[in-house]
Amino acid sequence: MQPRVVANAVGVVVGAGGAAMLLPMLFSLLTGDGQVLAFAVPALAALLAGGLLFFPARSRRGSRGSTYVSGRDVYLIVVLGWLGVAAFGSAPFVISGLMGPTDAFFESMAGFTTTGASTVGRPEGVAPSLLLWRSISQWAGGIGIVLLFVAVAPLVGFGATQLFSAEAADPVPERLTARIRDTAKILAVVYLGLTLGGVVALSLAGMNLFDAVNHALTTVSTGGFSTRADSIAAFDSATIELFVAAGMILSGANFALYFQAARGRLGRALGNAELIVYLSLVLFGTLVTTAVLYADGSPMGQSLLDGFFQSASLSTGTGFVTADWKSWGSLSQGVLLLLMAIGACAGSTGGGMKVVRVMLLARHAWQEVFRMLHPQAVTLLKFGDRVIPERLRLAFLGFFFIYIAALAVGTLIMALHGLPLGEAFGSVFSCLNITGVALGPVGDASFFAELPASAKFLLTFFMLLGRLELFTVLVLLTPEFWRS
Amino acid sequence: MRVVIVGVGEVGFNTAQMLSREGHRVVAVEQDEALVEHASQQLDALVMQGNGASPRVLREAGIESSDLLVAATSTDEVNIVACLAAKAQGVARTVARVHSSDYYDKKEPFARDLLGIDLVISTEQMAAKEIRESLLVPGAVNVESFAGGSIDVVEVILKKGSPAVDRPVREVEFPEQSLIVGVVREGEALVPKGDTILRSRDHIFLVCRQRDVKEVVGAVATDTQPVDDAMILGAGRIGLLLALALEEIGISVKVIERDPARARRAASKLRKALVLQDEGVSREFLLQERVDKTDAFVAVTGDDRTNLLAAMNARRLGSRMTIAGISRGEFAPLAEALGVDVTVSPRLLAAGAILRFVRRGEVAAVFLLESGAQMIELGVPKGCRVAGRSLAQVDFPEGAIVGAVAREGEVLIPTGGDVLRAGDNVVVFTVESAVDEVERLFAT
Repeated sequence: MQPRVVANAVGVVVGAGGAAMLLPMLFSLLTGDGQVLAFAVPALAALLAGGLLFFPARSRRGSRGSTYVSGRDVYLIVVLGWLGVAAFGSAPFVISGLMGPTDAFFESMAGFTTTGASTVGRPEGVAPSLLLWRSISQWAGGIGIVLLFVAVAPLVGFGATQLFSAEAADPVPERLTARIRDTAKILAVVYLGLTLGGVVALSLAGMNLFDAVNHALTTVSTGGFSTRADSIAAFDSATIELFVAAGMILSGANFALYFQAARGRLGRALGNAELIVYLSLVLFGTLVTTAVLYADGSPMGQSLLDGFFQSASLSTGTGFVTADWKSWGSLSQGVLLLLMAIGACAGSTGGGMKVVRVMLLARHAWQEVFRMLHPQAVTLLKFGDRVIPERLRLAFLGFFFIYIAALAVGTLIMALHGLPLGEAFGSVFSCLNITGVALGPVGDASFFAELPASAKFLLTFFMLLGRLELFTVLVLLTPEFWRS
Repeated sequence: MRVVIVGVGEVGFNTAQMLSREGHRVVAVEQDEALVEHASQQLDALVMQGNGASPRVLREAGIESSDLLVAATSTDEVNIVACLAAKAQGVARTVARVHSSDYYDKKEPFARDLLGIDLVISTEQMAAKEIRESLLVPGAVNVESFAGGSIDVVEVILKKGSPAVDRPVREVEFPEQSLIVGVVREGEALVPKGDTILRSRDHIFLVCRQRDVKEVVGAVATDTQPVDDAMILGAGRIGLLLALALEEIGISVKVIERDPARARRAASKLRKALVLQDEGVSREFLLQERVDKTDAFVAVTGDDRTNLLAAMNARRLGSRMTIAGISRGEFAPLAEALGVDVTVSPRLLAAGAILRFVRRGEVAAVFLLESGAQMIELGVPKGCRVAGRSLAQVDFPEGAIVGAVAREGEVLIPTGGDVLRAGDNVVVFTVESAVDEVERLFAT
């Protein structure tokens, strides 16, 4: 392990988190909502801590060639980076007196992991700058601090490739460019473009600028924090709902496809197998929920709008709400929970297991059945016209087992806190899929607020586990990792 | 013509033999000592030992005074470099055998335009095409087209129950506008006469207009069910190309390959075909994959013995039609004895392609059969010995027959009274010993 490199990198991430806090500070200064100090203190502290970790420990330029950065260092950097940013990011909530440290860390982690679970019951009563900070944290977490890493990796003195693969949510990555830095830049441009487009669209649809910015930030990151207690429903506008739903769907697609499309290969991007299945799943959810609502006597237009919005929201793991989907009957509930578990496309900001993994797992399962009849069949796992290496097939199976096991173990530990089984499962399910909502009271601010501190910390662990796609966090928990 | 041949493996040796029999002066260059010895004993040719891609060796072989270079080693790069070196030293025409489709892609005329190779021979592609065609006409095992596609020669294996079996040719009711031109019995080719009695397992060759093919085949074949599925043993170049081609025309394909890496490669290239990793000889395995219900079993591994045995095995287990790839000439007669319906030999295909290339201008088309017989399309020039005379008057050698005449866009299946005119194109079936005489008849 290379403590110096790890310290360097974590320092950069934490420092950048501090720098990001200057934005809401500036906003507070301009609007005069009185939270300047709440941001200034942690911002300076983060910058100082980052500086201390970065500069004194900085490896000398001359020895750059000899620094070997192993997978261990990378995993440690990623996890420590997230924890560090979330810790500093929680400070403004504490200093402003909004909540205690535990709730603040929960809120901050729900932000940076784009889970969107919250203990804030009435955002309307919270200082706007704090709300903006919540949204910014989701936005930063959505694109992944990795981008920051990639941008500054040369400063720290090692290649960013490992880091990128340890963090980017794409199990079957397609290299877009020769240099990973260029890939990261492209992803950042796509992300920025979607965000700006969201701000413009929502403003045009009638939101005020503050709400438009906040919701654009949390839509593109598929985070789900809102400035209103009633979420998107508070705006009572079909246009806004449609725009937000479209934004969520766009953000749930693999960003690499936008790059392909921009390169003039639109046909290829649209023909992407994962995209087609992803959109079909949203369509399927829409059809089922709409039919159920319509059969229950709701008008067609409204049924379609609500069904579409909730399907998009839960499929991408955003968690915005326009209707009381939890009372839509067990068929709709089941379908929506299934969409949550499957999640969005790999290489997006969405949550869940990711469509491509589910597709390949299903294909693998089918092949096992097929092999009963043809034991000697050579069954390659194909995705489009690419052949998935056998090593990755095993990784998918391992992922699936860990996903189920994490749900089971998490449910048991939550049950230990005295929660009903359904809520225990729901809370873990909502955090592991980084959606922030599930059935029953799970997802309500009061539900999370009333949990004991240990339960809140456990849920933050599952958020991070879900955001970093299981393996990166789990490897840190193995004794083998710490053996030198 | 003076010809330099680089590499005397099966393909090179066969080509050298054929060209030398045609009367050309052949110089062969081969690196392998054993092959040099074998070739110098068997061929009427000068055989040199050395690297045929080396300009110096080529100069020693007299490349400057030669008209044609045929590079037929097993290494693509050597063949390509040999052609380049030969062109640089002034040879008019070069022929290269190329295995890898990386170099041989019709959409990318790299070999021809950039390297100046006049003819690229891919025996694997030819073999795959040949097999595909033999599966396409139900009942027939082979179809060759002449006169711009208006005349076909079909090869049918007679089975018990066919109306043509055990009867003299004159009593068999062949459809109008068709003619039986050849019979291959136990590897020997002959031109049937009226009293020739046809037997079961005879391969008969029928000439007809292309549009009548189905009717003609239907008149003598017992089984004219189309081929819907095929099993291919061996996912080498031929097997893979064939599987891809069959997939394209909607035939369901099972590919059997022993080598895991090759099997994976095949599975990654094929869309629908089922790839099985197995040796392909065990009875249990073959029956489990329903070899008994398969329409065609094609054995095209790199090993002749495996192909022959697997094809025989498949036939015994009930496959309707069996095809085996045979690269070594010695094994060809065995195929018939083992009950293999069709053999495909890269050696013959390459030789045929080179022969067509060499004789370009003199003959319109030529196809070689394993038995040594040839199907040739010849023009009738003014002043040759056959022009203006009826077929009965022409003294055709025993073992040669005119099967069809193409005249001003019309196809004529001739009888003895028909007169050949200058400008006609004729399709001739001839056994090996009569080839020279036939060519003399049509020469001016």
